[in-house]
Amino acid sequence: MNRPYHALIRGCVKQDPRAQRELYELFAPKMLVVCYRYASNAAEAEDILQEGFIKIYQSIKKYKDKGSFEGWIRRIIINTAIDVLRKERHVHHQLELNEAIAEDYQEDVLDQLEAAYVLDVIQGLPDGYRMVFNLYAIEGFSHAEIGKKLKISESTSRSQYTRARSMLKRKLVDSRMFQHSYRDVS
Amino acid sequence: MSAEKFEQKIREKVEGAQMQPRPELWAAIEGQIAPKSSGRYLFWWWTLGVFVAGLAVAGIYIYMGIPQKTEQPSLTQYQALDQEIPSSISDTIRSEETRQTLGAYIPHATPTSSHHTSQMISGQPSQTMLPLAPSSLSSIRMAPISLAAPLDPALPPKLTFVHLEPMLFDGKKLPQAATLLDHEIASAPPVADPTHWRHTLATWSLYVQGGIGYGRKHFRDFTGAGAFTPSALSLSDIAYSDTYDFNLVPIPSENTDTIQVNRVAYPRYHQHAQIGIGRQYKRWGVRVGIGYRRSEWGRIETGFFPSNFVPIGEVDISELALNQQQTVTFRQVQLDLPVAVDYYLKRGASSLVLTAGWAGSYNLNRTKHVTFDVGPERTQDPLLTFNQWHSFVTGGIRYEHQLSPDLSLFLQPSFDHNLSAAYNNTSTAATEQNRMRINLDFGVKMRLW
Repeated sequence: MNRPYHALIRGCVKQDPRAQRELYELFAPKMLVVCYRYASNAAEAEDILQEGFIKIYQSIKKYKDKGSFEGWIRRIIINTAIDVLRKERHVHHQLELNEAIAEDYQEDVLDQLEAAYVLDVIQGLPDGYRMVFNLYAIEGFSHAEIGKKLKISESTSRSQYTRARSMLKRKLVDSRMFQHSYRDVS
Repeated sequence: MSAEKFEQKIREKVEGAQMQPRPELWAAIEGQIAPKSSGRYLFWWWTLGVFVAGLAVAGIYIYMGIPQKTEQPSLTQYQALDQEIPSSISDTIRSEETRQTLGAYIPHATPTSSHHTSQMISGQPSQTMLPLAPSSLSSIRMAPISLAAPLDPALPPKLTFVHLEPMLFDGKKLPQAATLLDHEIASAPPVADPTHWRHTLATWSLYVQGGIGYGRKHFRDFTGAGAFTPSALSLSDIAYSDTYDFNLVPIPSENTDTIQVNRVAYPRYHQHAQIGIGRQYKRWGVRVGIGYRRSEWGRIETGFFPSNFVPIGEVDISELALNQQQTVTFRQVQLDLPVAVDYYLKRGASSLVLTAGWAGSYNLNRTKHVTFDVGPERTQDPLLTFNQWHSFVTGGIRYEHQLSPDLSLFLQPSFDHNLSAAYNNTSTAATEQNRMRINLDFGVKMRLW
């Protein structure tokens, strides 16, 4: 049982506006980051967050009190992101992009970059790559699960992830160079 | 770098990161999750229901407050009529009734006993029918109102009366300072049926209450509230009427009269501030607090006299100014210490809160101020001593409708019942205090942080 959130969940089930706001204030900052990773820009991230929270309030009475409450919220947000992006763009058609290998990627690149930068770089990936990368590398879904979610084959998910990772490395290296040059100038 | 290590680094980088959404985003979400049209209709139905319930309670209360004409003539001395002191100055609706028996003198059972009566005739306007024995005429002559003429032969022997009311005499203020008249009454005639004085008053006013609240998950309802009601905000002043059945024993039957007196009551202002702290557990809540009230309430009275009344003595009836005005104002400052238990019934954005509690109240100051058209006089009512402490139980239903997380409308009919008298009646008059008060509060609540 999610004891810390018990009263909050009950309040939201009863549509108590105070509880609803409290829930939003508690989880919206974290979930906006999730949305930001899936969206192609900040406005789209906010759209996903808005739609996601409406779904949360509408379906909170179905929450079974099993597993992490935050995990339940996160799943709704991710599913909303997939729905939104699938609705607005045909994800599986955009997965056929050229592979870009980052030859000069080194281990310390990520250490030198700030989280906000990394998020921006992830957001800069093409829609399909970004989706598969997020689901596999960060959320921990298997390629089989991703295939079902995105309605693509498992092998497609696997290959797209490989390409996404390479592209991300390339972008991270470029971002680091940009950061350095930016720092030098300023 | 292995794929797993890269993924782990990415996860570490982005997990725990937070971004603050724009405030407008919550407003958009809130707009979509708020109850729709059915909630709007629900609000109005509930509002109507609460109003009807409030009116029903008020109606029952007023109806049950009508005095029964079965009182016995038990008073042995004069009856002061001017006992209409509010048991508490109300901030909203107040209905008050004072019943008195105007019984004149002791009945024939004790025809030779000696009785005593006294009256403050100056500095305190009274509306007193004061029967006097002939032996006390010397005292009367000492009074500003000269009664040099012999008794009316139509009256029973050894007894007369005079209406000591300064305003009746063309607004001429009594020249003397307060003069106490003591009268020894040697005997008295039989007493006729008791007469009654019924007085019903209802005032109501509108005020807007602003408050601040701060709540955490298990520690809610820290609230402060303030209200201010200048007379300009009063929606209506309800005039009331008094019915006096004059049937004093010494007055021949043809002098018996019933008159209507029209007065206008008006709240001048009401200031109210309170802070409270409470805790809510599930549907139950408990609140304690401290409140401060400052009220001024007044009435305008016109002169009155039975149309066929002929005063004794040299008073020229033509001098009686039947429409002289006097203004009586009550001021009260009190400190309340309320304790209340709430029970919440929630439905969407609406809440119905049943509340019951107790409050101790300390009178910091309470005065009666009388103004004639010839100038003001201020007096602490000599016939009444206000109790410093009194307590009352409270009960009510509060309906709240949350328009947004920070803004709610509320409507609360409630009643207060005094457990102890607001004042001590130190006079010999029989005065029944009304201990019930009905309130109807409505306003806006805002959460400032």
